[in-house]
Amino acid sequence: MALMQIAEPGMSTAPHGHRRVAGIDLGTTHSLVAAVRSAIPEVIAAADGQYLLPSVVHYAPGGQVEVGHGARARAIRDPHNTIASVKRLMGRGAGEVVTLAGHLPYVLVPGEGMVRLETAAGPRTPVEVSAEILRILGARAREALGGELDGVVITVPAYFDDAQRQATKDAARLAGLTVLRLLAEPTAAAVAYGLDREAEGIYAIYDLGGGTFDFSLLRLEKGVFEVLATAGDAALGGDDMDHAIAEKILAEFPDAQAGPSWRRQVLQQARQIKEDLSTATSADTLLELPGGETRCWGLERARLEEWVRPVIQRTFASCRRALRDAGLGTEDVQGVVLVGGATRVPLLRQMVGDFFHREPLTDIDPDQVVALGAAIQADALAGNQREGLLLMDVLPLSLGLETMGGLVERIIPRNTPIPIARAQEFTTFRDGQTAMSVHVLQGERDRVEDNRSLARFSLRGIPPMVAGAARIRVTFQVDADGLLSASAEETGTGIRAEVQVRPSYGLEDADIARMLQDALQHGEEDVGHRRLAEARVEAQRVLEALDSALAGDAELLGKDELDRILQARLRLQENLEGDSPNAMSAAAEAVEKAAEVLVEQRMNRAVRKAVAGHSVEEWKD
Amino acid sequence: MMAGPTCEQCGARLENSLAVCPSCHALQPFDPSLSFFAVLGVAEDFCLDPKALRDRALNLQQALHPDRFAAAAGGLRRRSLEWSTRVNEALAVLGDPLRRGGYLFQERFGSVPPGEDQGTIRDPELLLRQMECRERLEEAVSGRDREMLDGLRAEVLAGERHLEAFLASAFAGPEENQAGIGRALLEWQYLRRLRTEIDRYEDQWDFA
Repeated sequence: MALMQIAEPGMSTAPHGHRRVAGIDLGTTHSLVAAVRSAIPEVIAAADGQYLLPSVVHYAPGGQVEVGHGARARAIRDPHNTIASVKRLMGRGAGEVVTLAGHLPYVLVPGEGMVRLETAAGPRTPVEVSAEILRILGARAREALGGELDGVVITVPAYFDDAQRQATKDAARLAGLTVLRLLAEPTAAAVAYGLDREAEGIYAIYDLGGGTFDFSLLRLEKGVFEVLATAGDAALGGDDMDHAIAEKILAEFPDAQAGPSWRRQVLQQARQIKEDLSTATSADTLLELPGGETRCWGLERARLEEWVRPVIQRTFASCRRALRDAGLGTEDVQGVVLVGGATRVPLLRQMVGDFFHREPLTDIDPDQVVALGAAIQADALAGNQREGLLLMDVLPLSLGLETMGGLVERIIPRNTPIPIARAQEFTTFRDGQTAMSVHVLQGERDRVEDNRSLARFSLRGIPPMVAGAARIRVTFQVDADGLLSASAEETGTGIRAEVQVRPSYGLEDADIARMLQDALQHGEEDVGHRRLAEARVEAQRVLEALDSALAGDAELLGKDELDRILQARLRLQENLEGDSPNAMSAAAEAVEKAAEVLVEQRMNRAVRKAVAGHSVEEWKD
Repeated sequence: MMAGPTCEQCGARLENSLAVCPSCHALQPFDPSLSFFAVLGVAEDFCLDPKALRDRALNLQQALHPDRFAAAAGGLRRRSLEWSTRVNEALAVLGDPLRRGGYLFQERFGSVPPGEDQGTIRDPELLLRQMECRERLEEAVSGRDREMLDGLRAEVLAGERHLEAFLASAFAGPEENQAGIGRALLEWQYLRRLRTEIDRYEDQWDFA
């Protein structure tokens, strides 16, 4: 028999030498690499001793690429060619990031399909940008381990969908790295704490990264880690604390022109202040105003805590949701692991402790914990150590198929342990029909347009029969990394139909991506609907915010100012009924622009009140 | 002497699991025709202990999950993915008494249990009960009446437990009652869907 030479199911005794493997935490704000050396997992620092690589990539006109601290330093002077937080764009369609774009300083290449960013070196996809980061980390690991890498484990947020996971894997391939496994970040954190060697139990992983909040409940049983439930917020992170702080600082200097450079500087200072006040109770900051003047600005920890408290509070909605999904209460949780630099904030540790009625685990540096876990898992996969470790993930979001009327039929519910497969039977509805298309979606909503479009399968080569006679069995397979594939068979004749997978927002590599643009034409309408829906939601949000501000503070405005705002408001309302997302967004922007004066006045008054000795609570919304 | 399946590598008898050899631990060729009961190595029965099922599945995953074969040859990796997938499928189906009942029905009687897709409800009594439940759900939802919703859920759960007990004795009964089992499975499907909707409404209220 051909397979006789394979001796062992476990690869621990495979006749390889020690394999060079590493674990990579590819984060929103920073990334890092770790490896197990002499049985000890440790992070690998760059030549300058720093191990955190800011996930920032700068593209120069000549095509030179700079990654990390150097790139971040350029962000202030050259924001348009400096790509930060690219992880938020991974696996996203151009139409999907329209609303996000307002918060990003760089320019998106117009068009459908995968997002592209305009840079001085030409358009770049998020996959290519991420590959630049991975290339640096790969080189770092090669140097430290003394040779080519046999493979890496890369961590992804537990709720990353198929397109986002595929994009991450593609980025690794572009960077010349072999991916042994994509590992959920919370699982990696639990492994770093050695929870896999503990007795059985339920553990909570609270991960407040730079740009994402990710809460997971893991069950450990018989050495198997199982993700029981995950919940999170892809648009909530430590950055939001920085933004909240920055907005307050900006409001303190209303005279300063709000150009991108000034905003960037304030944002970076805000981050520094947050970090300083995690250890000190007050901090002074030197601000360089746009006019060149330097100002010393002091802040107490107590005041900062009131600013960031709402951000922390928002995380508990996800915690409650995951607990309920898993049918558990906080009393069932045996340990809480904190991940992400933002969890150093003392108020956060206190609030998390109060929520779970137990002290969170904080022994391992929250910036390193995920990478260390990934390194341990890589080491185990390579067969270097730890035979007992097995990490079983779950499907983060339900998989479904489009059915009649634009509705989704769920075929694999979320939180099902993977790998998993599900076969579904289809039939033809016309005589002699030889092809049909299947639309696969991921998400929890009922309507097609509210879920993520994953792929369209074309089934061809169906033997011609009368309508309803063909029985086509399509098997959807999700592998251990959470990636989808499909196969199809006509069950009567045994003929296997050809399956073409067209990822809705993914790409094979840069070349295939260009070819995909054509294929994606079919997805255009869907994307259009979504854009329209998103623009409308955003427009309504702007209207509501404006109306509530006007209801309270219209008297702060002069007559002209008020008229301008009301006119912009009227135009937006007219556009709301239309079907042009661009016109809607433009009208919403016009309202925001006209209302800037109102925002400013409200801020000024609020600050005056606060300075006059009133409590912050009084003017908080 | 009975000639049971043997390990393709060392020839040892495969007992509990047909996936992994108890003697040399070799992963056996994947057999897609095995029932979910056979995959997990449990009796073909309606009454199964969910905890024992999970233990069984996790023990198997320890031996055959793709992570155990990350460095193996392609053929063996494929085999591991197929086994591991089937173990999870078996746990998903057999771990849920409703799906387990439907699956067992198919194994026993050779046809899929009656479902909505095969026509409307013929049983007028069942139809009436369903309509009454729907009306109460709508009333609770339009009035945002959490208490009423909780009451309805409790009733639905009690109904489900009752059906589970009925199925346990019907499947174990000496003469098999195919029509009765089919009807119970159909009613259970309705109750389950109702419960899903109740949960969904509560979700929406919690986060509104």
